[in-house]
Amino acid sequence: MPRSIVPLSGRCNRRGYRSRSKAALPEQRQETLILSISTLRDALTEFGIVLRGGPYQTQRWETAYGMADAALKRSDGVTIFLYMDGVYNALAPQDFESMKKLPKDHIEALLDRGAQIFACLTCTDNRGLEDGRAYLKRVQVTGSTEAGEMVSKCDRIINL
Amino acid sequence: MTVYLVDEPFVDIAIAYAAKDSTAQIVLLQDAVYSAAHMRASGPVYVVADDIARRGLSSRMPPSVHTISYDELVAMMERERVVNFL
Repeated sequence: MPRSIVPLSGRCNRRGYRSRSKAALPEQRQETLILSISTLRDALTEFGIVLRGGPYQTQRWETAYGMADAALKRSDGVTIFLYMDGVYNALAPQDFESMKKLPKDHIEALLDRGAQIFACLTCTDNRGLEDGRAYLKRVQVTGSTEAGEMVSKCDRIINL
Repeated sequence: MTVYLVDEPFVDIAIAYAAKDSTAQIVLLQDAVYSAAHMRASGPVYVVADDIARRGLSSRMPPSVHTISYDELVAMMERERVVNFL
């Protein structure tokens, strides 16, 4: 089955906040809580990383991981768009005996921590990767047009 | 302030742009760290520790170049405008 094509929508960071029942809190406390959450949201930075480099040949994939890891540690939002040869990073069947951490391991680790990772559909098909059938399951395939939408919604863009 | 993220082959053009920006903070990434030793920038220059360690350059950085971690780099990028020369 071909993978579904996922359009991007909303903020690039879709991490949610758990809602609590307002009825359990006095009105003034509710206002304080809402203000605190609002302030926290404003304080977070949305990082968008466009990763154009494939694995191994350059350091780009490792730099992307280093920045994304640091951003997530600071509770910032991270969205990675795999573009051009960057789509190879998302392939699930990777093997490199002498490397402790492969690109797919970094991607899985970032996904586990709340990063969103998308791969360009056109780049995928251009490379014969058949709609990304061999990608890690949680990597979403989307159009490059939607990538522009992602870029416009992030606070900082890093083009690797 | 503006953070200039710079990698090869854009070091020269990035430095030329940054020279016109009195708020420029230049961060040399990846292979751009090889340029740190002969960098002539008016503003502060940074390198990421991981990049220089991988290339065996940790002991060769001039004192004027600041070595930072990814955590510090991300903190800088949170605070300042970011320009890519990558």
